[in-house]
Amino acid sequence: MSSLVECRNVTKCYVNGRPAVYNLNLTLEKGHIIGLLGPNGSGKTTLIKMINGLLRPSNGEVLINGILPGPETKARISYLPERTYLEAQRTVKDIVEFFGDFYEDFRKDRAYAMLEALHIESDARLKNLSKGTKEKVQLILVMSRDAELYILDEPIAGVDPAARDYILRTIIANFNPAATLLICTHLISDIESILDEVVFIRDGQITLKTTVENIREQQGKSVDQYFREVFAC
Amino acid sequence: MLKKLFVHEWKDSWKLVTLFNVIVLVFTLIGIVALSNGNWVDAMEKNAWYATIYVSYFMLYYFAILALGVATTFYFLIRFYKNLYTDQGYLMHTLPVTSHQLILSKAFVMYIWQVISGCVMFVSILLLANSLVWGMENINIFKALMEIDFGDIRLNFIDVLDIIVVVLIVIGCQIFSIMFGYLAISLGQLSKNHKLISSIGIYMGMQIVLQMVFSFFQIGFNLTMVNVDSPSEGLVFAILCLIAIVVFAADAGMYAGSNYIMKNKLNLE
Repeated sequence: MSSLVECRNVTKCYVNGRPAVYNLNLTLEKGHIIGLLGPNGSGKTTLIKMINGLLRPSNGEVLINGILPGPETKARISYLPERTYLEAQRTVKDIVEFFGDFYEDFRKDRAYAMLEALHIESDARLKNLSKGTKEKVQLILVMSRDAELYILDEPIAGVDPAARDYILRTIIANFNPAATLLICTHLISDIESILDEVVFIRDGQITLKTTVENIREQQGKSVDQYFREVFAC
Repeated sequence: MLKKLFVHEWKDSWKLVTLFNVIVLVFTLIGIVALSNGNWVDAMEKNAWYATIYVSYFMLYYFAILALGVATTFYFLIRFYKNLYTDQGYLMHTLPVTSHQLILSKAFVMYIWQVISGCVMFVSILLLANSLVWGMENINIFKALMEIDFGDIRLNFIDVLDIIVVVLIVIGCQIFSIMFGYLAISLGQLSKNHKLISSIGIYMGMQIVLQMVFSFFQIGFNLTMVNVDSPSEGLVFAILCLIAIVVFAADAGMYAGSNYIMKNKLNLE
């Protein structure tokens, strides 16, 4: 299986702090849906930022398809941060056009179809939308790309349970089987059904990388139950 | 990609900056109508209300002109900060573009608007001055300017070069104000907490240092020139070239600093 993401001895230290990620090694293959799971402060977001080129490792290297993060890798990664990153003055349509301009793999028709399905007006200004609706818009934008790697940081945390089902269906329906999907969330039971693999991270180091099937067979538990056991306080 | 970034930056910013300029032009228009007949001088002397209205107008006009320059600069610096160093940075820094393209697109739009606002200020002051002079002395400044015989002015090669270098210095100084703000904002991002306050503090600190350096060189220049009765053309040209080199070197240094921080030290919260 060819690797899409390779982290080699990656360490990230912030100013005057202990390393958020320490000597981390991780390989993610193509065509998998992977859950990146860990308690708060375990280094998940730092790792995701380094894959996206938003942070530079203090040591080691992150490679996407064999190259360092840069404009070329950003064209292939579709990233949903846990923040609302869209300018409030813009309309939904403006944002769709913006994505269409910058990402060659962006499918406007797919974005408008999903907006319609979720009853989101394309002429609405973002400042007039609720927090949950903004998150849905961001997810639609991210999933409307034919990317090689999707990275979703807490994609369902801010939406109601009814919308979660739609969002998970949306993720699966629009997910290119040849691509890799990395999901970072605390709502493990909600996403467990779509995961192929899980990666556990604690104190900036990978403690487990295995398939969901293995956990069920070897531990006789769901991923959610096993996570609670491993990371019990 | 640079063109696309430029187009989107322009589309996102033009409305508010146009409004700033329109406000100044409206003030100018009011002034032209109110001042172009000379009655306002008599009216001010005879009626305290008129005097209050005219004085208020001149004060408001003065603040509008002052605010146009300041508001244009700070509006674009705030946009730079918000777009690249707050939550919006998660979008801008994951676009398939380089940090050079991000900085250049924003700097270019800001520069164009500084030039436009500068022209609006110049035209506005000229029109208002013309109305004042016309109302009081019946002299049309524009007509008087047109009647100047430029045929008597003979420019030699050095004079032309001087003019070119002066124009370059003006452009360099405008770029300086942009890069100065970008570097202060970028340096502020290196602090662990209170990044915006740090940026403002650094901006003010850099201004103080700049004033000190400028004063130091001005004193040195004055002391040197006091012994020179009439500086030769060559000396003037050499001084202008030196100023241009220093200004553009500072521009390049500040640009490189901002780009280095954005590329290597980016740390969005």
